[in-house]
Amino acid sequence: MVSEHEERLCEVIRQFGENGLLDSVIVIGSWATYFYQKIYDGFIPTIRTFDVDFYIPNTRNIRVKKTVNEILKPINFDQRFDTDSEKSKFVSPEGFEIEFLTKLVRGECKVVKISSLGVNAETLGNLEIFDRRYITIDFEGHSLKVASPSSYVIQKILIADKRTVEKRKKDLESIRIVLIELNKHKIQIDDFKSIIDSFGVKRKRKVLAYLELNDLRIK
Amino acid sequence: MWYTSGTLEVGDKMSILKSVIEEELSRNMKNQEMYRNMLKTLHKGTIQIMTRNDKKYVYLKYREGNKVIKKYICSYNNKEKFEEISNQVNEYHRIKSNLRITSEEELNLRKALKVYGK
Repeated sequence: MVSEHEERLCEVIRQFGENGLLDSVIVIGSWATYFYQKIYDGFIPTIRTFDVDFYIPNTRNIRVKKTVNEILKPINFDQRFDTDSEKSKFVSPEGFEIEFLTKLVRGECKVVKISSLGVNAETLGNLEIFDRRYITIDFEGHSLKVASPSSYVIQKILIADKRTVEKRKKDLESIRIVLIELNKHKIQIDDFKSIIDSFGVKRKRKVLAYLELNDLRIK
Repeated sequence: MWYTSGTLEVGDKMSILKSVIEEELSRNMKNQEMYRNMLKTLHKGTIQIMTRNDKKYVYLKYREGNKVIKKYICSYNNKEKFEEISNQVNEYHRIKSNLRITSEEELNLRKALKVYGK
C-alpha cells in the first residue's frame, strides 16, 4: 500500500519538477520524513497518512507553465474543493491526496487563492518556520525542498495541542524517531537550538515543556 | 502495510491505525461524491462514425434503461466538435473507472476497520 503511494508521490514530484513548480514549494508534514532516508543511513520513517502537504512560502509571483490541475490530470489526479472551507485538494482514486498550505497572515482568510497555480491553499500558523529551514534533495535531477528535520520536529510540537489524541500519538512516534537521528548530527542539533532561541518566551516554553513531558532529549 | 519502525505500544498502534482508516474512509466517501458529481456533467457512451452517401457523421451511442440511443453529434469534418465530444467521453470513462477503484477501496477500508475496530 505504501509503496504504491510512494510511487504516486514520485510521479507527482516528477511532474512538478518538469513544470517548474518545485522551486515554489516545500514538502512538509509526515511525508517529509520519507525523504530523510536520503540523509540518514538506515532511517525508516513512520508514515501513517496518505496526504502530502506542500507548503508555499510565497504565494505571489509564482511562475509556472501550467496550473496544478493541468499538471496532475495526466497522472489521474482530480481537484476536489471542500464545500465548507473552499480549500482545494488533488486526489487520486487510490486515496492519495495532495494539499497546499501557506502561512497564516493577520487579516487574511483561512484559504488563500493562488491564481497562477489554480489552487486554494489553507493558511496555518507556525509554517513560517519552514521558510528558511529546509533541506534540498536531488530527485531525478530536480531540486526538491523538504522541511529540515529540526523544523519538522518543532512544527509538530507547536501544533500538538491542536491535534486529536490519535494524531498526537502518531506525531510523537514520528518525532521520537527523527530525534534519534537528529541527535547524531551536530549541525542539526545546532539548527534545532537556533530555531528555539529565535522564539519568544511562550513558544520556547511550549517546545521545551513538550520535550520534557515526553522524555525527549536534545544533546 | 505501513512502515513499522515506531516505538508505540500495541494498543496505541491499533487505535492509531483505526483512526487512520476512519480518516481514509471519510476521504474516500468525499472522493466518491466528487466523482459522481463529475459524471453528471459528462457525456456517457461510445462514439460511432457512420457513413451515409459517402459522407461521415459522428454519433454518440449510449444506453438509457433498456433502450440504446444513437444521438447525432456532428459531421466528421467538424473537427472541433468531434474533439470536444471525444474528450468528454474519454473523461467520462476515466472518472467512471476512478469511481470503481474508489468503491473497491471503500470495501477494503471497511474490512480493515472491522479488524482494527474490535
